[in-house]
Amino acid sequence: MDLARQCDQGKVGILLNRRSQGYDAGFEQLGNIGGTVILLLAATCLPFVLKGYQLFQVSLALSYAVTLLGLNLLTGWTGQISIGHGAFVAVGAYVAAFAVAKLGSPYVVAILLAIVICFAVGLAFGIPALRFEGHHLALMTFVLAIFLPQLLKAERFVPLTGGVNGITLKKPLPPEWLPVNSDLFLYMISCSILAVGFFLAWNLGRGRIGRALLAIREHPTAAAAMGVNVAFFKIMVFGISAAFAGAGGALGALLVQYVSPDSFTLFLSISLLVGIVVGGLGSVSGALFGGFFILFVPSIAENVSKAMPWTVYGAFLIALMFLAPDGIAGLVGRLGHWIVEQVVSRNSRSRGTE
Amino acid sequence: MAPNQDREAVPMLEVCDLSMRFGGVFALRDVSFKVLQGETCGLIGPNGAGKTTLFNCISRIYKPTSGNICVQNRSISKLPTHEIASLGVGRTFQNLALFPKLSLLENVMIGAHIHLKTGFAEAALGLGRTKRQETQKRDEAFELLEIVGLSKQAGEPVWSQPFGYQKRVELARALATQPKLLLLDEPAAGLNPSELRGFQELISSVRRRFGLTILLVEHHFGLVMALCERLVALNFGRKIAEGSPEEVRADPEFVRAYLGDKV
Repeated sequence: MDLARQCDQGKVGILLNRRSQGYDAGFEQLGNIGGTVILLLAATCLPFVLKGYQLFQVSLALSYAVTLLGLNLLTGWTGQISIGHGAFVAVGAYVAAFAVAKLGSPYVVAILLAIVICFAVGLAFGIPALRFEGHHLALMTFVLAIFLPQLLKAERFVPLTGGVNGITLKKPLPPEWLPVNSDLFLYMISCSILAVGFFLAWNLGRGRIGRALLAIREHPTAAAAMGVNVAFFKIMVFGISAAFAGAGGALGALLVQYVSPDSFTLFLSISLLVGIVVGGLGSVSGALFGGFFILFVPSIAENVSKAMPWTVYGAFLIALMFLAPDGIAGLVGRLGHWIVEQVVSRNSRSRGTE
Repeated sequence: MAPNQDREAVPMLEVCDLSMRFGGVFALRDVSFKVLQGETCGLIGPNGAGKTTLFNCISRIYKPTSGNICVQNRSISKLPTHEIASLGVGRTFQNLALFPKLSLLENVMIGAHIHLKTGFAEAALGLGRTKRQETQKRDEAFELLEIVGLSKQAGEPVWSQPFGYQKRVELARALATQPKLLLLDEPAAGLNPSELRGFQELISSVRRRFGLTILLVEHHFGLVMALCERLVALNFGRKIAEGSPEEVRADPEFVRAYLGDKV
């Protein structure tokens, strides 16, 4: 069973982005470990390099990444397109803001509450969504994205939502035993939540559950014939992806210290979809790249051309689709693979000449 | 003759007065037959006779219009599709229903889905039995790929493999569900003569090895004659003949269905 183990370590670990074949067994595992180490180093170094506002922006990108982890399980793994995920983000943000501002609950409790409630909302939405596939499902999620901001403004719910004014929070302060300023503190919270999210999404994406989700995407009838309870898995993955969005939204609310209906427009939902496609569908690390893309590319585009930022954005998007058809994660993976290959071949060549 | 009596007592599969209607057309009409334990039974008939429809009724992809289907005396007519595999019914598909972007090994492992118990929470936290079960099932899936002769390609995506290989992956995936009753829908279609011989040997060897009862839809007469102990012939949704291959071949109605009136 030696070969089977090799497959375990190498090829099976990463389900997608396996475009180039004949991967050596160790390569991808090496890549995963290497990637994790680089990420941890970068996360540790960033606060020394960046100033307050920049650090805040990075934290915000991380909060998007949390949402994208969940959306990726839904769309990348299970093949269910949602163009209304911003609505779940909004629910998470509002629940957290309400809990902190109106109930005075601790931040941790507020985030957990947002996750639980979004999970429930996601499950509830997943049940009717079962009746729809493909385009129709997309339309149904679209409805979610357009009606929620209005609901949040509605007169009737003003005591809960604050209406058009939204809800303002106090800036979270670090505990006294922690010698950091509040920007750094928020950055640390963002990193921690994203790390936990990564761990959970990574585990869910592999093994029995991840395979069942992929099977549903690839061929639902065959998946059912193999004993996969397609309806149950679809509902669960809706709930789980909504829970991730809830965590992302709650984190965003703490970072911005303000929630308002206009922060959760249809454009946010579309941006999230752009984020996972650009980051890498079906790749856990794609969420991180997607989060940074959502936050930074529009402002970079504005720096390039004040008059036509969205033209620049569009051009950038199209270029990326050509250069990285399997997302930035796929591109980085191939780049990493190439570098390792170069190093290995150079080593073996130099050993050959000795 | 106790074992024989057992075979008589509990048929592996019992189809009773099964009808399936699509709009105004009966794809199956009052079809009844039994498949005994350990038997290899062939389901034959011209195109459009209702063979695949019958398969889809047995695996509950279709809901029959009327009639009943029992697997080991248990009625499956009210069960959802995904519970059929747990009853020990595995199948392959006529036009392949694999998961193209997944590797051969992953495809076979999805066959083992019902034998893995990891739930969402356990999987997310990577707890306890998850990893051990996973390793065990992966080894088993790998062994199945060895049996069908494809272990070298275990890590390749299925779409990159030739048609004949994909057919074998489907067989391995069906075996991974650990079926008692295996439904094979035209396993030989699209195979060249040398692949065909290999596939025939493969089917008889896995049948012995796993003690399978097989229901086989096949147009290729050589394969049917070589593998099956009994045949059920359908035409226009009705059963027209049943019995040993020799009996069915001699049946006048069967001859008429296959060769036309003037023989």
